[in-house]
Amino acid sequence: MNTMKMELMEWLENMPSTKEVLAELEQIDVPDLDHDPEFVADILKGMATEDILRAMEEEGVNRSGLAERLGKSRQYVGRVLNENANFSLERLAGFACALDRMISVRIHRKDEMVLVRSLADHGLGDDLFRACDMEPVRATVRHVPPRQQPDFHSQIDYESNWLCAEQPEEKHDGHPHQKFDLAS
Amino acid sequence: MKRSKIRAAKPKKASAAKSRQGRCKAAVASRPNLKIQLLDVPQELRQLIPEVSETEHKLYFLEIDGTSPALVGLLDILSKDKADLEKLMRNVRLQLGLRSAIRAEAKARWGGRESQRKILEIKATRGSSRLFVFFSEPGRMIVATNTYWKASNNKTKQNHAFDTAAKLREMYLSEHTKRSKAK
Repeated sequence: MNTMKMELMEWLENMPSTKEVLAELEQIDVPDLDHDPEFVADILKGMATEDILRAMEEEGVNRSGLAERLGKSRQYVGRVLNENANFSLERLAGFACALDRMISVRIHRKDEMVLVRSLADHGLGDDLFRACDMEPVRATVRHVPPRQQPDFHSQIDYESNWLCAEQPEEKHDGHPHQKFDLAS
Repeated sequence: MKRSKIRAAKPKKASAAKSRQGRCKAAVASRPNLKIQLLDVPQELRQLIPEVSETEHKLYFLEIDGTSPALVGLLDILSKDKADLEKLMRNVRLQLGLRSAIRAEAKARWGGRESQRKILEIKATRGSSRLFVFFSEPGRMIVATNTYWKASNNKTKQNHAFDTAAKLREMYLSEHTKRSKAK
């Protein structure tokens, strides 16, 4: 047994057991970070800068290149990436557009989660519609006034390969039907 | 005068080293079969690390023979400096939400030496606490090994903490391989 491992064992010998640690943790007031807006905002900032760094890496753009795309100075980009700047939605959107990326800000329940996934990971890539056994041809969307939306029924008609959104007949009197061609 | 002091110090050092070696051997002898396992985040820490929230990876604590150095370290940081722990947790949670390792150097860095390359040091941004982790089954599990309190720019101590993490990872992996072979 090498020295390092022996030292490790001695080090472990002097440590309290997990049971003791858990008993002590029960006595301590652990901060509730999910109810601290400053902390939550900090995580969001961190996520945004990490996403920007990743996008820069994937696009092969450095800070100067990104500054050029944004029409701003290199120092501006540095300030944002070092999280020393205010993060407004406009500013984030500017970065996303400059890097040819999508942006998503969601507020959701705690038992829900938002994940960024590559479509290719799910085998959906170009075959998104074919995976559902349907062709991306046309969709018919009937216009519904906002107040009536809770009664709105949507369904996918696999047989005709049409994506339909339907509402009970009596509730959409007088509203014109709109057609969107998904293929175009 | 100076020489005599140095001469006197030498045998002391040797004896200290000897006794330490003895203590180490005794420690090893007292634990012939190590029980290595992964601990889920305890309920008491759920306010710091929730079960699912922007989570790509899941965090586990490495436990050896009923002792988890990372958990002990977190308790230590919690009692020492709550604000620092919050800074550390922010980057831990950030890492849990990402598919790959954190890119920003201010938040995390990989070990520099060959043996430490697989160890990620998650930092408390503008803080002193550090958590050492490694990726097991990339994209799924992050295993926390130990912590470090960076009070000064002493690289030796920090490197030692990296080495400890690397050794703990090695122990975990050897146990993992043993178990998967047994299956």
